[in-house]
Amino acid sequence: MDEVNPILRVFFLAEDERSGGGCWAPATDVYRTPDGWLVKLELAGVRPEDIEVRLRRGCLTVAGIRRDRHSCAGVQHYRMEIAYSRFEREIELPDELESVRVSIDHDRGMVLVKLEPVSNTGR
Amino acid sequence: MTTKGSANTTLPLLAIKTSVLFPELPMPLSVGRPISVAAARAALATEEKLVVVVAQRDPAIDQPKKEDLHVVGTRAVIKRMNQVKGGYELLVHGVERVVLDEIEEGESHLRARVRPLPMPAPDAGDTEFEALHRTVLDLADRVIALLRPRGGREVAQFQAHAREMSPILLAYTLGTMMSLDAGKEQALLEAPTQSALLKLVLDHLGREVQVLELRDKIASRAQSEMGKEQRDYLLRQQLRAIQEELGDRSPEQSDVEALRTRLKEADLPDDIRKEADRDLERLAQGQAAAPDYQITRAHLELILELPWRRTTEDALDLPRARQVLDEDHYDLEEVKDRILEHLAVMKLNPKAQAPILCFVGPPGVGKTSLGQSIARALGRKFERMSLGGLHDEGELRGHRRTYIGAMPGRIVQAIRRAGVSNPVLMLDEVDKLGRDFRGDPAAALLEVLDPAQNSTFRDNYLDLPFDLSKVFFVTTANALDPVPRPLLDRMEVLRLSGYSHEEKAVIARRYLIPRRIAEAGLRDEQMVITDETLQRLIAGYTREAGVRQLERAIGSLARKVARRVAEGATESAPLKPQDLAILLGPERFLPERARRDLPAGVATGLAWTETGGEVLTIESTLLPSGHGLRITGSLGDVMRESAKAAQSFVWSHAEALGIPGALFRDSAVHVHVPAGAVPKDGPSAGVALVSALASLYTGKPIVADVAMTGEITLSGLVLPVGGIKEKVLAARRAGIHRVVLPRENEKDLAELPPAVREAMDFVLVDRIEDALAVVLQSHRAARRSAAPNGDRKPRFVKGPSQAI
Repeated sequence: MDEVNPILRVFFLAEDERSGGGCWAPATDVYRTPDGWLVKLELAGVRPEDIEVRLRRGCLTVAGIRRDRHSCAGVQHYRMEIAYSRFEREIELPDELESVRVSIDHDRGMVLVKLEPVSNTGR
Repeated sequence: MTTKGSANTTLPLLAIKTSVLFPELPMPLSVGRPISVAAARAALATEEKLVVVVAQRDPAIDQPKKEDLHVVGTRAVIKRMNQVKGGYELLVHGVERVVLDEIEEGESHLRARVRPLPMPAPDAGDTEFEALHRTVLDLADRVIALLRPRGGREVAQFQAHAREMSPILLAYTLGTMMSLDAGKEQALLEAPTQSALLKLVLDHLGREVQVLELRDKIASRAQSEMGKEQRDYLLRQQLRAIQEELGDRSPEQSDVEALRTRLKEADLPDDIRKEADRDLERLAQGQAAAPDYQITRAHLELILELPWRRTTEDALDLPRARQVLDEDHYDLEEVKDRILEHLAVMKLNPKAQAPILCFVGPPGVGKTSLGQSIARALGRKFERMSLGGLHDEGELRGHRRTYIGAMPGRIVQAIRRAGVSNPVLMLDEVDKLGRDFRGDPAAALLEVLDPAQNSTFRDNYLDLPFDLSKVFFVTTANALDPVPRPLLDRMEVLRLSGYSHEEKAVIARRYLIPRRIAEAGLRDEQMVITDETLQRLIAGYTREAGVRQLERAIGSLARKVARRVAEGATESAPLKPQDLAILLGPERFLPERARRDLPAGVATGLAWTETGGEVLTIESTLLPSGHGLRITGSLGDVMRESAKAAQSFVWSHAEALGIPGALFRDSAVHVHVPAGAVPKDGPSAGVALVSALASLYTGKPIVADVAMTGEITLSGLVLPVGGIKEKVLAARRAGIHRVVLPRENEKDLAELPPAVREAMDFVLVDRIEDALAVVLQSHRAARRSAAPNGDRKPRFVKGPSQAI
């Protein structure tokens, strides 16, 4: 009955390895702030221009690509544990966020996404 | 699902052998082939770690080319990598299925230009697709339940996950889980639509369920069988433990111990003891339930029971032995002498070989009881086995222990019964051995009866040499002809011929009557048989060479008398001859009278049979026409030829005998020998045949009261024949007092009891003419054949005759 193990493992991989389409998912903290929401994603080594943020209804999607910038001619991997290539993370937020202001910030390898609802007069 | 790559990218190609990577699923890969290592290295050197994973059509190929690869593959990301000796361990994660448009064969690895192949599209109607989906889920549950019969967290998690998955992912996941071959997995990967994909998965799941259920069934059956055996074993172990705890020994151990003690006490030769020790070791290590335990045990038992060195002391007191032999048997001087001689030799040389005797004679003459007497005279044990109808060599010599139900042969069993290694072993009916495809028991007997070989007789079962040289072998046979020559060579043949009436009377008086009276519970004086009565009993109620019928008749008389006594009869008058008719019924055999007043052409011959001698009448008659010789009466070839020779002799001497030659030309002759149903053969009727024919042609009858035997030659010689004693006794029984014999048989007359010699006249002849002169009577003499002064009356004398 052992042969089932490598197969069942499919279902018990860490959450970050299980998102669809072969993407990985960064670890994420979500804060409630006086102004709205702060979403912190662990995305070290990802260039700002490679990050794409979308918001639809109450669902925030952060996707992008982490590129390995240290492999070049003459350099060979000996071990690889960092997930490269595409990532994607969807975060469901409880509020119906009709109109929010989204700002993206970087802080020592973390990507900070701020969501601030604006009054109907805004936007 | 934002990762759908740009169209027409070129990526390193990783060929895998026995499985298929599905989109959205991870797969660990061990990469060792140089071509794959190079491809992985190239992919790792890129920023995005992308690679195309394609299954090979044939897993045996090490350096795949374009045509060795499937056209549809999977674009994948290398998630993890670890370099190990000889290659990489990779975790790749499928991204999407792609079509390989072009394959470049680079220096170290393959590269493929790929274009994305969209995920299978939903096609069938909602309801049908939904049904398909649910069926797949149900079956998947069963597969998981079969794989994990105890359920638990994993099953529950799978069920939860499976219901969340998209149908495509579900199909791919199940495809990975089932042990499908690469071709089937590839078909899943290439499925054009979702319902096609699910149908494929459904097929495989159905099969998987069957296989798993079957496997379960087999496993549980095996387990239950194993369970019973283990249970037995455990119980046995517990029993042993309990016995040890109680201070008892296990049954096998105590068995082995008992055997060990017996073995210690047994008197065995060294090499035999070695083998016995080996058996015992085998037993000590084995278990009683093991099949060869009982076999080994039985073998050891046999070794222990066989009398390897145990013998009886021979009683070497000659006068006493003589006395014993005389007590048991009347006459049989030759045999008794031989036994006493042997005894004398044993006394002087204890190492002498025991002789191998063969008693030949008609039934009932005491062959078997003589064996018993020998044993009694020698003070040895007596064992008897009948070889009659034995046709399997294995019966005699045993079967090898490898056969189920193997047993030692009869010889070894007899020795075991006797309990000593020097019994008198009687092999009865050695002339009635059979033989068939299982081997020839006579051949095995050769070894047993050869003093040079039988000191190391090897029974197949025993498989150890046993010394038979101390055994006093006695065999019996009714006739020697069927006994194979080599076997006969090894034995000293002693003939026991039939008894005369006088001898029978003595035997009856001495042995049979006392024995039967005792058996019937009578006292001697209650049944007294007069001599006259006994004679009538012998002549009128029995006809045999031995005394078996006689003993039965006496036994019958004794029972009848016993009944009278029991019913209260007080007077015990001696039995008179006329009482026999009342007690035993009318006489069964009228006193055998040879025919008186024989017509011309009828002669009386004598025959020898296994049961004694017989009187034969030979009849011949002239036929009115034709010529030649007609012979009837179940005669064998030898006797037929003898008849022809007889006719030729008479013809060629026609003139001397005064026969008109024309008689031979004009009349055929018919010779008949009654009784027609009894086969007869042999040359000894020659004289009788000549006499009959001479009498026929001359018209002179043969002297009544004369019987004849002897072989003839064409030139007129009379040659000696066998069985003289039986023949003479038969003639006497028939009331004939004169016998014509070949002169060379004179020596045989010494065998006859003196009373018979006294009462009979013998005519010894060298030539046929001598015989004819005696047996043919003139017409005148015929009327008073017994008259002492008849014309041409031959002088009958005892011993050498002066034949006329």
